Amino acid sequence: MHIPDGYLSPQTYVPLYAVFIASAAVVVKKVKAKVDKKLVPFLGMAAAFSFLIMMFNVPIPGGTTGHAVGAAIIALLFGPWVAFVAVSVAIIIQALVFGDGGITAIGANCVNMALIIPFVAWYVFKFLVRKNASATRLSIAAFISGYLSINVAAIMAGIEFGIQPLVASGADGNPLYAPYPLSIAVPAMAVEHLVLFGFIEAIVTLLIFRYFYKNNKGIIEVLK
Amino acid sequence: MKAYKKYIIFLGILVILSPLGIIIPDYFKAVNAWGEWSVESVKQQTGKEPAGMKKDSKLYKAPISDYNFGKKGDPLSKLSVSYIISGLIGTGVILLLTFGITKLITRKATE
Repeated sequence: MHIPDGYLSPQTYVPLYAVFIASAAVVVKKVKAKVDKKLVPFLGMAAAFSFLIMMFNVPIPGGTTGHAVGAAIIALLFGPWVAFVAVSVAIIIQALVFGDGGITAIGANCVNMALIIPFVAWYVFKFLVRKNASATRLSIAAFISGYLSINVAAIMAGIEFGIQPLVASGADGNPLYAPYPLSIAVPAMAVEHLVLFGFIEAIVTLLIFRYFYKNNKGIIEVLK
Repeated sequence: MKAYKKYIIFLGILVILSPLGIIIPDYFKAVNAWGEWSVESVKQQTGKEPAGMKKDSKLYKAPISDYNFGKKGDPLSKLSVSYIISGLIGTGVILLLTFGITKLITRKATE
């Protein structure tokens, strides 16, 4: 979900921008300290992958659409900070060039999809897996990481939407931005991701994890 | 470059298949993602036009809005061509940008 301009009030999007910029600062510091030259081409390809996978809208028949983000698998393969950069680049290009997601919402969208998904996926995987885990267990962990991480991000987006009537309503009581309260926004986002889009992300995560596990196991950061 | 050939090919396949992302939803009569409506649509849904949304939605007009070089009601075949070209442009810009960013950061790191 790419939050457009006009859905979040400044009271919401400014702090989220601050979180985004602070995270970017942390990344720059980390990369300066330790740069793995081998990783460099993968960063661009990972960002391009995330950008492209988000073009594959999946429908709920007669209803809305959603898409995988690819952030979970990028995190498992290259670490959550690399995923943060890759997915943020994709999101920024989507907003600036294609109007997919608002400019004021770049901070929010990056926090949801480029920060939350990678870190939830990474820590869920680490929690589920011990040393010398079997390929099957690793696959299941990858699947669950993908599924849970996107759902947490979706709920966060639902909360960002749902608080708008509370934090930004006019003198007449009418919402100034996203019109639906938490009781509508959170279930709307949560249910569609729990029921469908979470599985899309999970499957993408699983398939690509298995490919790398079979062909290039040594590169997988979460297994190191 | 050769080691990355298979990944580039994979990205190329994604670009070519990307129109599925608009064709399949169209087939199933699915519309916008939840919460990605126009102001007009919000007015239809709730009977009101949120003032902040009305103002901010006009903040920025992207050069290739919604991955479409044409108009919203264009035939699916035309939209699909736009979609593929958008995929190529996006991929190209991203590869250039990340190459540039990492060059900048790694150069600073070795100073």
